[in-house]
Amino acid sequence: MAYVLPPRLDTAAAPPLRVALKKLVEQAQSLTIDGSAVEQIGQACLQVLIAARAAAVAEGQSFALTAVSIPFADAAALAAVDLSAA
Amino acid sequence: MDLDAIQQIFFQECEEGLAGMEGAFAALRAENYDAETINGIFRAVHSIKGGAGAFGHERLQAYTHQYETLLDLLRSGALTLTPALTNLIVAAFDMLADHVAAARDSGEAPDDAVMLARLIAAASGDEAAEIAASAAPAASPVAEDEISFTPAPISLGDDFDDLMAMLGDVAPAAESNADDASTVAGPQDWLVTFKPTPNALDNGGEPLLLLRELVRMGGRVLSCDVSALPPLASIDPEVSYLAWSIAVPANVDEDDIRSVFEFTDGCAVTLSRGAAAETTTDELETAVAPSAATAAPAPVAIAAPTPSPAATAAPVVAPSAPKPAPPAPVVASVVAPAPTAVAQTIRVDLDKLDRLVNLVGELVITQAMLAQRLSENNMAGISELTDLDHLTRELQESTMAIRAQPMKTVFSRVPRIIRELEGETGKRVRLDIEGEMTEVDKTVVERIGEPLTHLIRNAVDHGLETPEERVAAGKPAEGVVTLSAAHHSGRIVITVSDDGRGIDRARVRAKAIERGIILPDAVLSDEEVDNLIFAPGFSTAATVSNISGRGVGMDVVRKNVQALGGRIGIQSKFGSGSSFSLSLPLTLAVVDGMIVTVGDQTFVIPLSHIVESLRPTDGAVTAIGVDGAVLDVRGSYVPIYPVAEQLGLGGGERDPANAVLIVVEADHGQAALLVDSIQDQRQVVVKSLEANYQAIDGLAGATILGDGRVALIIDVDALTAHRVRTPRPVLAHAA
Repeated sequence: MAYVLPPRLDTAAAPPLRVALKKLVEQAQSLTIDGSAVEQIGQACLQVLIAARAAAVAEGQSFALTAVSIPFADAAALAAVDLSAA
Repeated sequence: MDLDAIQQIFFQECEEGLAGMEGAFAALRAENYDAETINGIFRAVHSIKGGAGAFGHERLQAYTHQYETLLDLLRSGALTLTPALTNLIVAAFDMLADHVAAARDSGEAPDDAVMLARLIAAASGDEAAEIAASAAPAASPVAEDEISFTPAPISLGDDFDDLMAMLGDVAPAAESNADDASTVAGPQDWLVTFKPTPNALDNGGEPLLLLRELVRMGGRVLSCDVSALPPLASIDPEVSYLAWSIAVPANVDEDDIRSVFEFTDGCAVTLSRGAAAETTTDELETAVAPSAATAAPAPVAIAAPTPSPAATAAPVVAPSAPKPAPPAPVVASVVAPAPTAVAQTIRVDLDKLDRLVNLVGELVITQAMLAQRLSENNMAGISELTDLDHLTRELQESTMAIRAQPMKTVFSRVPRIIRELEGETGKRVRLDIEGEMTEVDKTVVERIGEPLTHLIRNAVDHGLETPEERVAAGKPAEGVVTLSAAHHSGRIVITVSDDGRGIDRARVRAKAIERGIILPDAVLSDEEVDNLIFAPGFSTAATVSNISGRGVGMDVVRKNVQALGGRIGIQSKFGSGSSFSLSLPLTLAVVDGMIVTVGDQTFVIPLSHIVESLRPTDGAVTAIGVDGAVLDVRGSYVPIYPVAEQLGLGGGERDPANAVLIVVEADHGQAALLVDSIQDQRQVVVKSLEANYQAIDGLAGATILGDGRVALIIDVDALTAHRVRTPRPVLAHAA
């Protein structure tokens, strides 16, 4: 089941996002993330996603972004961050 | 400067941007535009979007984003401007203005779903998409970046395989480019490294916006350094850990790049050019060396790029393609004009300006006092005094010129009002604007908007006929509303005219009788009938509409105009249209006046009203009625108003033979003011009676004379309105 990212991923949304993704990694679940609803995403949440991807890779789990909205893709491209499947 | 103040500036800039866009639309409609016209519109929307993002106005940002996307396609030539598209971007502009207003007033953002859908549809039509794909390689990096916004969210989310295929195509190229930043950044390009401070995300800070700004200048984000990012378990999600390397075209000015980071406190920024690497940093110890990007343990790639399948990947994702050089000049030509324009203006707090104006006013008074003192000692002729007089006057004019603004700031709102009225009434209206660069004092500009809006609404709602009626009357289906501004003998005259049905005097009269405003047997001239529409509670609209209000409008219009020291006049011809003209003073702070004596008092008569001054010869004055008199001015008779009598002063001359008669132009035509003698003619600084005491009928204000005495300024219109002897509309309640 994919974890659906909320529409607004500003700095305030980063702590709960970290808690949620950390829990998923700890439960040894593969990280499947649906980013189609994202309307806004800032650096803070991008950092959490990068860290989550790294954590999944370190745990030998898979990481996949199943869908990205335009603002999400735009922000990721702008920041040149790697969220490709692993 | 706190955040609110900065935000205020943002909204001021929004207003300016919107006004500029409205001007550009006029050019589009007239098909008199070039690439720069569309660029101008794009830049305005882009700036609003940037500010909206910075201040967290998300709805505004989201809206401007789609708007900008469409404009960018037009700008880059990917879409061709058709009349339908022109209409769309104008309609989108109106909603943008609503969005800005909502953001500014913390109101509810307008429902933009339909408009957004239209913008998206227009931007992503199949035909357009094809053109976009083929045109993309020639487009500027800015355009490319923005095209990567191309809206098609549904197909993206639904078809993940396609997206992944696209990513597969692009990501490796990006990675290989990121491997060696210096090869991607041309030999002379700027290499910027940027690491926000750990607390950069506090208080809504968003370093990505700075990247966006660099990209707007033509820059390309080469890589993201994630080496400082702790593991998920120990990461503090509100601390900034990332750093970036960005290549910016060589022709971008260093200052422009630095200005991007102007408001970031202590973040590490290095700027180097090619191999020379002349580096300047704010915090060297944390600076990311240009080589750090390549040494980054976690090589990074531009993931999830061009989300729109319509834009068919590669050409559009060109930011990572290794051909940075050609687009650069395009960017330069787009970006360059902005700093020049900015450098020529400066924002000044209005309070400071008012203080300056006040001080200059005091200087004028002191100068007058000095002149008087010198003249008492027979030194009035000294040349230094004349010089001082000239300098003071010039200083005063220059100061007032700072406050002067073109009427354009008011007129630019009118096209939208007209568009809305067209929609509400089904009438077709062409707006002609003349003299929009005519300058007038800021106070006048600020306060004329409301009465002007009402006159425009009135012209369309009551003045113009429906297209069917017009055609039946042998007129073109499209009505014309003309708005003009011009300087006319020291005043500004603003005219709103239409080629509609004109005032139906019989109907106005009937309505006035019905409303009890005049008696059925009142004898009125055409002009007087026309003026009845300014009577409180008068409305001839068959049904009360939400356009022209509820009949409370025209009298309020007149009051507002009078409060500005202005007059309103009507000229109308039944069947061919009406024209309302507002005559307003250019400034409310200084007035050229004639200093006169009445009894033991000194008064100022504004020079703008004075036609001539006469000492009557025998037989020039003819008595009329009980105490009235008229003056024969070369064959035309002008009523005489003794100022002492009008203002209820004891003393003062009553006999015209011993007095001076000053012929003035007033609301009701010419009149002659009877005064004892003329003292002088000079500029005086108006001190408000309302602000310092209370409004007095017949007086427009006060001033301080050279000898320190206070003189009252006569309100010529009000003073002569009191004793009008010609037949006037007989008020029912007075009868």
